[in-house]
Amino acid sequence: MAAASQLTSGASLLHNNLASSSTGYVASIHNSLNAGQGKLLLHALASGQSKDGPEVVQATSIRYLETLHGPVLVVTSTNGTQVYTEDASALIFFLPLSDQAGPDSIRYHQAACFVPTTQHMVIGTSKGTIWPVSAVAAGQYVQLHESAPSSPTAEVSDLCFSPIADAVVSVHNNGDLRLWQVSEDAPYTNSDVVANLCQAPVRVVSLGAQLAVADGPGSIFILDATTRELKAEVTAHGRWLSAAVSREDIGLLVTVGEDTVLNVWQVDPSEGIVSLHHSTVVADKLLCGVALHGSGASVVAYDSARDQR
Amino acid sequence: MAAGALMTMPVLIVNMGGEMVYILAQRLQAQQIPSSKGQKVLCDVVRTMYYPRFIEELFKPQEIYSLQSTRQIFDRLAHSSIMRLNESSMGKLFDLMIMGFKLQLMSVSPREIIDVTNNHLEELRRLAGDGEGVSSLVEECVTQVRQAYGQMGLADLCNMRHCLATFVQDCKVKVSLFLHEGTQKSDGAFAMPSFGTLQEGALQPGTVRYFSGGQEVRREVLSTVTGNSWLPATGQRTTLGSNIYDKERRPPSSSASAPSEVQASATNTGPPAPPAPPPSPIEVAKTAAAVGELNMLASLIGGGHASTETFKLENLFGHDMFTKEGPGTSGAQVIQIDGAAAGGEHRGALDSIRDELEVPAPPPPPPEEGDDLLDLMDNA
Repeated sequence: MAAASQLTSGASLLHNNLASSSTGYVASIHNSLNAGQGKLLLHALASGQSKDGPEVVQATSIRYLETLHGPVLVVTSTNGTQVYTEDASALIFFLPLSDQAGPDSIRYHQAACFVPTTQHMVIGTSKGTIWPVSAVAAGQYVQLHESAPSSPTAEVSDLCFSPIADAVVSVHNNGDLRLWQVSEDAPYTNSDVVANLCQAPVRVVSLGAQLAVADGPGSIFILDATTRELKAEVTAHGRWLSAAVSREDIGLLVTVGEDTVLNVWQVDPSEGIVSLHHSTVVADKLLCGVALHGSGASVVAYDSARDQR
Repeated sequence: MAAGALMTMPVLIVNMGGEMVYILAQRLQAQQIPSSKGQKVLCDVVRTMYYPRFIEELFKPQEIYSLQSTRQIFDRLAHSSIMRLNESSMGKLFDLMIMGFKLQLMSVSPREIIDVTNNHLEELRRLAGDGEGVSSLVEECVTQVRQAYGQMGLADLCNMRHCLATFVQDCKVKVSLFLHEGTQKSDGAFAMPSFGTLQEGALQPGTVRYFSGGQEVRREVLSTVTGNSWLPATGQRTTLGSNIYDKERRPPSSSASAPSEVQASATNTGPPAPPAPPPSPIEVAKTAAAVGELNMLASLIGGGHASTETFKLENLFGHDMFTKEGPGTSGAQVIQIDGAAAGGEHRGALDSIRDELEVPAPPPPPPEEGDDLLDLMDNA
């Protein structure tokens, strides 16, 4: 880690609490129990400037999606999902929660991915459903049909799109991995389930012919994207694995954990053989976010305003 | 099963309450208060904290309280015996509680938070003894913890931990004990280790297992930067949540390990990481740091120099003590603590306190509207 820059506040302890855009923004979440004090943290890599983003209420995930009209910032929360411009200066679209929470449950949205073939943005929900949104052009977002799982499941933890499988892949808090067939204008169909793949999935990413699922207790599961057969299990960290990000074009998977370590793994596209490219202690803190950008990687830690690069 | 984020309050109150009792117990012991009298004080606090109706409400699914509201709860708890703390000393006590809990939260896995909670309960049972049915009250809470969290999924426990982390976020009060241990840095942030003991069933970081047809066919170990710094699981419960203010640093009875080294107390479990510093100077520094940190509280809990506006050394429970308090307090036998009064020479005052600690509890303050848990504490 060669340098560090300063965010306006400390990052909250959330999974994958750092997102980066293709044009040089990174964003993180600062939640707060005090009304009006939760906010997004924005940093422009080129200028080195940091600023507060919009207020958030119990945000659950943050992600930049690379749509055909440019990157957008998607923030999910207990309020629903907000889609902002890249610098979070304007709200583009809002997807509300579909129903109210009960006395012993919380409703929220979590995770988002982009389906380039249909130009859909897909949002995960606490009901275990996914919600496609048509994002054909800026200012023309249209809420589509909430899609139900084929069997009872737990809250969505993360989503990705797998080009090889031509499907959206979701992972759920009960360890399920589910495949969803994409539809232009009908609910997505949950076509396959791998039950109890792991304990508490944190991230799912597409790695060409493979899928990689990062599990909270510290492991990464590599599956064949077509058959969903388990190919490898990597014990990546000695403590909780808190974030993962990938470069699908070169088969790279970067993970950070509460053991203070950043690991760069390479997964062979054909056989799924795993090698370790780089491993380093970033800082003596609970790492909770990692993002890749042109000049390298950025890492954030809980309760720290420093963005390590 | 209630979402993990709606079951944060029991963990928060039990763990922070445990820290509070540890601190109070240490001061009572340091001032050589007779054990029977000290027990009475601790019993009163613990009995209020584990008042059945309060516990029943605590374990209902609800959103986490704010820092300010939680402070009010502990204000009431701290004043449930004959002790009174002014704003400044209560603030310091609360800071110590928060930082102790924050370190525990950051040092453990989501599932181990429940172990920390159980460690606090076990230690409280030992400290408070069995006077006035306190033990049974604590035991009831142990049962509630088992029922509420025993079957909770790992993701829910993680959500709960994230919510608690938001609660203690930005709290960076420097604590001498932690600074001397090396677990806290000069900016108030805790230093997380890159080593420790693995969770049950976990393999060495860097291990890659290959599968075919659902069966493991090959295994290798890649060299991560700290792969060799992690010890295999021992099956022992974490010792975090035990009484760090206890000079002997005795862990809970369920832990089979020897008293932990300072560094290991900040990590998950297991033996300390190399290299270990020379024990004697550190032990002296630790004790001195802990005593130094708590002397402020001690001087406030004790009588201190007489102030015509608060109390008189020769008659700490006299009528004149409460002239500023107005109606309702005259004649109430309560130790009034004034943070502005000079402290330090409190031993003589405490000697007279010893004989007068068995006094009726003061009348409860009026309940605040909307504060359900606070209302229930008034009825304890």
